[in-house]
Amino acid sequence: MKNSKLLLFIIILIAAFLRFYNLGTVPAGIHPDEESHGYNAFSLFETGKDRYGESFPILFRSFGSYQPPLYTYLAVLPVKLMGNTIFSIRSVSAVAGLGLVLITYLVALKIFDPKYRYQLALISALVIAISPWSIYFNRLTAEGSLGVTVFALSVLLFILSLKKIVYFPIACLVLGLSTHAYYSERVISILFLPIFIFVFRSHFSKARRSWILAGLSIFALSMVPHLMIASSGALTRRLVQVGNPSTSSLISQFINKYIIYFSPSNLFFNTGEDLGRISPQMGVYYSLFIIPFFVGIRFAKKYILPEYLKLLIVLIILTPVSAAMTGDSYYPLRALDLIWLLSLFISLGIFNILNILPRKIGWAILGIAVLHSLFAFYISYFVLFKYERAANYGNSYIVLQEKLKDYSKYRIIIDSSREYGAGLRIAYLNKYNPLDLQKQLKSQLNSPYYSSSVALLENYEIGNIKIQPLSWSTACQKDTLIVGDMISISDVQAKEHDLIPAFTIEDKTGATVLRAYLTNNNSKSCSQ
Amino acid sequence: MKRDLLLILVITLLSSWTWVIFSINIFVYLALFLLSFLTFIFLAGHHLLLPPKILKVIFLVALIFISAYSMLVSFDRQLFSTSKLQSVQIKDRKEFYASELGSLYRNKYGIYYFDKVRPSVNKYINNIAALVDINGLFLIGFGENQLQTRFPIFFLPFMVIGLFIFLSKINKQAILIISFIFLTTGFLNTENSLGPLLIYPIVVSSIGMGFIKLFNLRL
Repeated sequence: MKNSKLLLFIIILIAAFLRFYNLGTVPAGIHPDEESHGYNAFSLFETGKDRYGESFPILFRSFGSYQPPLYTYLAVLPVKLMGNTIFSIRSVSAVAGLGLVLITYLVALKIFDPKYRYQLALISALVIAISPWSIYFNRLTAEGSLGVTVFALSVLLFILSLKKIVYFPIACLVLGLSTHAYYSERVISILFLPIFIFVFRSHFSKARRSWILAGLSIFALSMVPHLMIASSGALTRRLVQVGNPSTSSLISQFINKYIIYFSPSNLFFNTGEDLGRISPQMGVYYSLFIIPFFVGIRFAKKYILPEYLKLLIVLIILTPVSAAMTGDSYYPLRALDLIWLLSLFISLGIFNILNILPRKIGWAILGIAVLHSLFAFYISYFVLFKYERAANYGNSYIVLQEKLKDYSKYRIIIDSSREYGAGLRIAYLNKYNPLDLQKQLKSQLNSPYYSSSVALLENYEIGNIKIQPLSWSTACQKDTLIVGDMISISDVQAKEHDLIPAFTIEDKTGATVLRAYLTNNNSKSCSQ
Repeated sequence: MKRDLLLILVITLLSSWTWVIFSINIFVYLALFLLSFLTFIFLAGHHLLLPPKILKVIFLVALIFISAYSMLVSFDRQLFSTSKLQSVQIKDRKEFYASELGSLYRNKYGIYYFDKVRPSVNKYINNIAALVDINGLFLIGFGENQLQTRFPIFFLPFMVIGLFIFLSKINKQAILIISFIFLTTGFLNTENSLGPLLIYPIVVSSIGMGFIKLFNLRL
């Protein structure tokens, strides 16, 4: 197709704009998981160890659980080049998103009818570029965002391996890598590989078996890091955290949760306000996409080459399995692989609708639909989400940092009882010396680094700032600034300890989130 | 034809939703049964004694009856009004819109669109979601006691198979009818016991088709 490369370039530019525009400020603030990746990347570059002093961890211990390693290792370069900023840590996810747009284009080129493959590939790339789920998660430091890209790359390589076996070992390597990117891919990969070999066994003649064995060996090798810590409890810690709380009727719970990921109401309509979902008033896909979705299913057999349709069906069945193992009712982040696959059907539907309608009308409708959808996303994400979810990203603590500059001569205590990420946030954004932080955090470890028991709350001391659960017996000293939320420093407590109001910090909705008080040096009730 | 009737009858009788509808209004159930049966006949490619044009008229009359009944009984009165909670939310959001959109919001039309039109449109779209909510149809309890699901979960695989057949046989008239169903449901409160009534015939007939396909039956 003429100009397909130019059109692809334009689509990637659109994708880049949607992902990088105001990346450091929307979401407003930085989530604890983000700063954890950020600080560990910073610490790794400076010392070769994470914030606990562990050399090149297999999993990164963090806030009561563990983070898969690939994102953190990839974040070392942008954090080094661009500094300890919110933008730098999110850029890995954003770049992964651009990668997914390109990979989707390449996958579509392979799986669709060769007569229409360029048009379908471009539409597929565009769907990924503008879909709410893709933009939303690419703008977060989301391991799942990286996971789906690496997994999609492995799928592309597996598709290529059906024609050229030399790709098979490479596909297995990338598949193995995906298990280090996000939790979902750990389960999906192990299920997918043997099923793929079985379903496509006719492609793998005796002459090719050595390549299959090589691929399997490479995949097995990539599992070695997991196996090294398997008995420690660290590998399954996350599943314990988020798994089904009730052990009764596990099978029926699994089936129910599995089915939920296929419900069109969750895919195309407002999924609600929980953190793992999309921005307000927005579904995983735009509501309008429900029409091409069903149209795409209708024409799947006609336009998707039979062997690849088989592959897609296998993947669609497998990819929600890991999400269905958890206790949450609908958590798109854990099913991004499925959501990505469904985009191919949506693209097919769009293509068919354009073919049915008169050319100019079809393109006009598509143009209007895309513009309307992007406008709806802009309102949902860059307006409502920015303000209404800022509290979830600790935005008030970013503002607090600026205020604290005026109190450099004071001892500062910040209550972290309900904001476990406060200390690390300050450490990351202020480039606190990793060697000092390693000493602090290592001394607080109450279990081996890899363990099933991981503490959520830790105390931090960064220069003159202590971030820890507030204790009035230790906080009440001279020349001290105490910062906390409305629960930690109530009006009654402020009066009881004769505190002097210093400042308040509002969140983006205008509600007071943090209050700061100075201890009264002249008062007997709160000075020693 | 007798066996088609029997199949649809059994499917409807095994559904808790049917009994709720039956207890509310028997004529509604009869109309839904008729719609389900006619949809099934269309999918199965079977013929009845009556000419197709008559069947289409009967279908349309039943559909209009159900739609009119739904509009009378289940019209979403919140669609064009706002609850106290929504009013608070709209009030808070005024500042966000003003800060981010500037003059795009701060004019007569902008304020009207964002404060009045958008909330209603969002509610309308959310009402439509109930039509395609697998949870609501097969997994979550409904009605007063919330114990029974609208359809038993073992019907789901049959429905999925039947839906594929439905999609493969869809024609312009079916698209018009489905569009009508979607557009009408947007005006309805689907959280009551009646639920998304207009999807009932499509679900039942799809289950029937799925059953036939899976067991390779010939009727």
